[in-house]
Amino acid sequence: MIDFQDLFIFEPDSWIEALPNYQRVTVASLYEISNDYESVASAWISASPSNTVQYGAQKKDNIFLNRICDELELFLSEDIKYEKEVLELKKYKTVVQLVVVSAISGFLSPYLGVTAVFLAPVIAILLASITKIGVQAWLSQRKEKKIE
Amino acid sequence: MLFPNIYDVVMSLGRITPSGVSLLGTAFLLNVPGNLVTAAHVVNNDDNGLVVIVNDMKNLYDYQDTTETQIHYLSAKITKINPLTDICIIEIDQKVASNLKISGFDSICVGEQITLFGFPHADHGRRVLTQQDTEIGAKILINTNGIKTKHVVLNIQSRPGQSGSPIISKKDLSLIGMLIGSYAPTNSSGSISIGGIDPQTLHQTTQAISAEYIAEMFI
Repeated sequence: MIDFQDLFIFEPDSWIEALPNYQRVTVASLYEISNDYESVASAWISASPSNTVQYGAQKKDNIFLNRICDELELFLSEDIKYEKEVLELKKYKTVVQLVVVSAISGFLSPYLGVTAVFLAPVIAILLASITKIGVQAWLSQRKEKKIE
Repeated sequence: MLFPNIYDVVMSLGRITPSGVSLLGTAFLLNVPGNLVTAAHVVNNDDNGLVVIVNDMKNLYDYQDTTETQIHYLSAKITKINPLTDICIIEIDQKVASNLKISGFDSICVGEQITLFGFPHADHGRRVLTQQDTEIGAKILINTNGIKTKHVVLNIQSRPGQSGSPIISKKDLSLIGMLIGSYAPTNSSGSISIGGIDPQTLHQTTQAISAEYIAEMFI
């Protein structure tokens, strides 16, 4: 059985390494530009080719990084909303980062209206970011931001 | 050049809604069983209620009945997506595939003849598989959030619903790219819409991304 603290003992970049090759390469290229995880996550969810009008037949809805952070915060805080999902993740005997990223993406995606495979790089980036400062510090930061 | 059986390869995408199936755009079968590709923006990163609509025609060059409202569809799931290249791979539970060989824009020349197939005006509910023939007008790099990717300009006008259309080289019939939209300056003082059409898109500068980025998603 794993504990949430066990998730954050790895090198931050190892979360990105866990992504499928085509996503890992893109995320790494974005990181080279900004050197900032939050900018990379924002670029992933708001990507749009410059000076181009896209020809899908329906209007595109944008998802905001803050909404994803809100859901991840609830999950990592073991909020009652994610009670079953937290138990499901904790059942694993060891931390396999690809499995963790896929599982959390799958748990959060129905609440965010996007597919888990789209969400996975954002979750990996956020987990990398959290690893840098520690999960309790990240959760405290989130609470402080809301009070402000 | 004739492609009578292309209706088995190029299909429209839709989403099941309480009022029926809304058309989203174009998708086409890859040479990987059960896998289709479309533009990421077409599916809006969401596969809830996503369906591939099967074409009922027997030959692309027969009449397509625009009054037909009955459709047959297959449920689809997003399996790979990259918003930076605007490419999405979707999977259906049927082991069908095309014989399209994937290449890209490196080996093609400006002025080369191409064919594309898609569903223009799908935003108005129109589902007509349409062939367009044109030539490559320019090879360009487009910046998406700091990353430059290979595109071409196609000298033809396109409309909503055509995103996800395959671009096929007439030279060797390989898949060289996928239509994603058209040029529209974003630094002008805002766009206007007349009858649902942005006048800034009334030109023959359609843009397509290189198919090499599709191949990269299977490495």
